Amino acid sequence: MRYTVLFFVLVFFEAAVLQTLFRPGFIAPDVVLIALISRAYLLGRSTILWAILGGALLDLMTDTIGLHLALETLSVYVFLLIYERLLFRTILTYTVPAGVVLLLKKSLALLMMKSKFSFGLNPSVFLISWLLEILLLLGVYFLYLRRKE
Amino acid sequence: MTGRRFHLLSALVVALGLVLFFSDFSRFSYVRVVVRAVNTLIAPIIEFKEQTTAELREELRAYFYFVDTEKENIRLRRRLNSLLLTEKELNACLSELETLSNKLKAPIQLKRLKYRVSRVIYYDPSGFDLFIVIEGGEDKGYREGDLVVTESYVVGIIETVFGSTSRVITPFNEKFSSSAVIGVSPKKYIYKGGYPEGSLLHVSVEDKVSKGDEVYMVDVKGRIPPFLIGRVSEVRRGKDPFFKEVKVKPRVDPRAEEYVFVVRRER
Repeated sequence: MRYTVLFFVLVFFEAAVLQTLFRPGFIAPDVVLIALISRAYLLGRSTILWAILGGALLDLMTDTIGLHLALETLSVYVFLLIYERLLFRTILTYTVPAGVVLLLKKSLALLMMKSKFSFGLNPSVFLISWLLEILLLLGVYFLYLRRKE
Repeated sequence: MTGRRFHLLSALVVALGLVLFFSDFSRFSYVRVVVRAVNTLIAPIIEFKEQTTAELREELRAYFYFVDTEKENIRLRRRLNSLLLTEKELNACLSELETLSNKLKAPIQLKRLKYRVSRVIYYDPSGFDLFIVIEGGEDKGYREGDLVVTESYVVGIIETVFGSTSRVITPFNEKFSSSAVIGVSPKKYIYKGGYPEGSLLHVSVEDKVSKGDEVYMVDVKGRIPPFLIGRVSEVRRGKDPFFKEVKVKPRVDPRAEEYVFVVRRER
């Protein structure tokens, strides 16, 4: 129940706050995906349903039908594919696949939006957003996930 | 979730998302009904989100405005420090000059100017630059007729004093007139303002005036040092056979000035 509430709050926070702070909005740190990856790390494949729900909600709230639905699902799927092939759990087995997946998601979102719309993008914003995501990943790992292992 | 279902579901959802994104399905009428129904369900959330976004944007705008103001303050503080330094240097020069004049036993009548620094807050919207408005008025003790200058040239003369602002007429204004000399010549003329050029009055045909000569504003009583008004731009024979018609291009560009010195007339 706590996770459900937190998840919806994060969806709202990302759509309303983070996407306002970053230009263009889709480049903002994806806290929903971090929550999904953290859940996938602990609970496995059932997280894909949460990814579908979160992606659809984000799409409805940010008026980008299909973008988040496809990318959140794909990111969680790829993370699970990588993660399930690792035999032990350390900080690296969480952060490295998650970092790669977050970067992949961001790059794909950029490519998809560029193929449809024309806009300017500052590469440093892209990098800052990704570094923030990595910091959040580390924070989540040290403050929460490590205790559950 | 079993292996096959997991892979199939993931692939289907990703494909569906991509199709939705690239095909603009949401524009189709029958899909729009579904989208509208979903939107109705989550309308309060979206409304709340829009409110949050709008407020956040407002806060961000205010924040950046304050950041800009802070930067402007830092810049102004630096400018003020530099002006204070210049003032100190000038004071040092003056005392040195006084010492020198005492040693040479050639006393120079130097009276320290009373002046204040003011900021230009408004320009003539007509584009003719006939006046500017500066900060400070009755509150700073400004009076009509006080001279407004930069470090070396004339900006104007205070025409009207309000509570905390003053209206300054520039050398482009026809109401502007003052005593003036050409270069180092002791002969005094009257400069009358005009746009785009002012004119020197009563320049007799024998006087040597040529294009490019500097025209200085002088204080008849000799208390204020000469300040540059502008340069002679045209000299020709006037309608009056005894006088030349001399046009002067004022040096000041009122729109480029940010700070000015207001030289106080002594009571």
